[in-house]
Amino acid sequence: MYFNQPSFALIGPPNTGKTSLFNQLTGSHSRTVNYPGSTVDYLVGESQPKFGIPIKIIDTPGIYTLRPGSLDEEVTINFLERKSSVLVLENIIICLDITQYERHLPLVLQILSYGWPAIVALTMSDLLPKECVPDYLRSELEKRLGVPVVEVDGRARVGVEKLFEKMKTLSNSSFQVELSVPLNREEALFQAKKIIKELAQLKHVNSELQKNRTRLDQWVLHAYLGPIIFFLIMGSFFTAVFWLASPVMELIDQLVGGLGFLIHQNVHPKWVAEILADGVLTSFGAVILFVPQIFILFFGLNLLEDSGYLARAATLVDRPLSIVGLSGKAFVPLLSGFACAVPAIMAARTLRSSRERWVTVFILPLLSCSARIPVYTLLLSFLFFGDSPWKPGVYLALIYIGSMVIGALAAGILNWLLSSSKKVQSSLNKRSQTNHPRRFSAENIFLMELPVYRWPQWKSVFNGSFRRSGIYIKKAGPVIFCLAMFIWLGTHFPRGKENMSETQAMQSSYLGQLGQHMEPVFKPLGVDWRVGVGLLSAFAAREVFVSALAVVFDVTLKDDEAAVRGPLLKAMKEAQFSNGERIFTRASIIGLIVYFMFALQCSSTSAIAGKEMNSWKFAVLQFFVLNILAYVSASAVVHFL
Amino acid sequence: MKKLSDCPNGFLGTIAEVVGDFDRVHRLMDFGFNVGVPFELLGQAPLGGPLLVHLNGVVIAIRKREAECILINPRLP
Repeated sequence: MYFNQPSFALIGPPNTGKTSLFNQLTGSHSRTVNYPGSTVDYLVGESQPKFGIPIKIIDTPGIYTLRPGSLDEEVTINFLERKSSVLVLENIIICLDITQYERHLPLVLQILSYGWPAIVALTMSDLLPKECVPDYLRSELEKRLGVPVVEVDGRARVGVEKLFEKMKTLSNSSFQVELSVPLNREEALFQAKKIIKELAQLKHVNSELQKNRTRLDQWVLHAYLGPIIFFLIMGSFFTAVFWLASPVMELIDQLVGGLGFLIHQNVHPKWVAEILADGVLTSFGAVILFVPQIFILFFGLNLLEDSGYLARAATLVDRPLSIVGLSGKAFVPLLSGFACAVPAIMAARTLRSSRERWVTVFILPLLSCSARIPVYTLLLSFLFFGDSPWKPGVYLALIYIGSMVIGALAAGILNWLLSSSKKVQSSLNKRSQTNHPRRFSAENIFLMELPVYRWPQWKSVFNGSFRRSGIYIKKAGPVIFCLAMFIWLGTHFPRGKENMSETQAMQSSYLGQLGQHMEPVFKPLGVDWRVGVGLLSAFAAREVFVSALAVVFDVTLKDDEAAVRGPLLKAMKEAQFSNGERIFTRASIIGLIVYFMFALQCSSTSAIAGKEMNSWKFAVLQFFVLNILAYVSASAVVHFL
Repeated sequence: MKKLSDCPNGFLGTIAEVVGDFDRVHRLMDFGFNVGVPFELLGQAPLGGPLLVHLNGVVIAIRKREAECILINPRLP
């Protein structure tokens, strides 16, 4: 569909309104494209029909320099240097933040010197004080840069039509481009200085803007108020992720249940209905169940990012994180990790230091993701059965804090191991050298631009959250689906005889047999093979543990899903080993909680980790280290309690 | 010469030189820490965090360790 269409790529430093402009040009019709060989995504879309002819628009990751420092910066530079095999650049639009033109002009000159047919878009002009005439700057820059310069405001949609006219003209006159070697930094700096001197009239712009900016930061980054504001914002953020999502999740659960019921009623023979409803549909449900939470997480993140707070939050936590060898940059992946490790691992690609990235991705599964909540809720309500309802809540909070502490400890230990071992260090460097022609620094440098505070743009926040949730479904969906299917088949085949109860069928199924063979393995955890089958099923998705337990303990599932917990708790209370001892004691329940805190049971996390780190060795190492750690510590807990 | 990391809050100056290892120097220059650029040290982030430097119309958070690489001149009134 994009064949023979002229294309334009939006290029520029971070925070210059590239994505705003992209949204204005394309409406919301865009798709993310994976850059081959790495996992960095960029956006491709087609211009809105109202502009006339269709033009392909590409949004690229922001760059500060032509020397890439991280994976996403490299994508943009590869475009510019024609090293990208999928996407051939034709024309470029360089975004230049008018309020920061002094700082970004050298880079703009460098990009222009490649020789691409280009248009410069002056963004953020709405931030200029009234006495400034952007049109003067525009015409002067046009004269000096030798390319069309258009003033646009991606937020207020001013100038977008004008920009599009220029794009049409430029694409009509397109010819085969001969690329030249770009200016080096010193030359670019020199030329930029000359231009800036000639445009001295704009000097006062910056200081004027600055006053406005620092006023809010006096509060937000205040020595005492700053952390308080941080905790308030993060607190409401988490509350939103969990409490807003839960009704939607329940609705999805009921929809899936209702649909399954319909299938059971209307589809014959029975085994087809079972495969469709309990196998396919339920596995599909496992994929979409977490979409609401992930959407709200991304929505919140986009909101914080768009308003400018996220950079401040990262700055605020930089010092605490530096104690364990991470930096404020790791804040976003770590925060996302509490909803789901999959998008969190993807978010880690913005980390510049290869060691920091390695450590962050490694410890992310230790943070309590939302899939563990149903499990913890079940186990805690068993532990505090009949007790006042606030107790499980407090302990759930303790589990969360515990997972943070464990994650921090793990990061500290890993960092210490990585820095003390020369061998690992050199292999890390070598790996990043072979994977990426230009080596990324192993050294941790934290430099963070604090952008101007702005009102978030709801539309782009919405679009962005939809897009990012879509990536989750696309990437993790198939893996979760296939594994859920696999586990379901394992627990339902070979098919039992007609008169068998569900529990007996489970016992004779492949997974049931495996569970029984593995009984000695589960012994140190203080549980029998039935709970073991639950643990094995949890490798499809952690929350499956609950429904698997319901099956192995023969809790008859009525149509009403919500009522499972009561009978299940009762069944758990009565569950006994063959020698008559109770299975679920305080020790074994706490052991299970500890197990779930450490274990990497999520196969999609492993799949994404392997892909993102470009190393299956990493994924295998992470899988075994975390699971062995979980097994050993849970056994220790059971043994000593 | 005085380092950026030694400046008191509210200090006005210009950047005289950026020293240190290759990667650090280049990253600092990418962010606009170039010779001759005027700056203002706004303060420090809470919890002993990074320094906040106003530079060419933008505030940049920079760790003490990187601030030690930046040599400065006081700005004349």
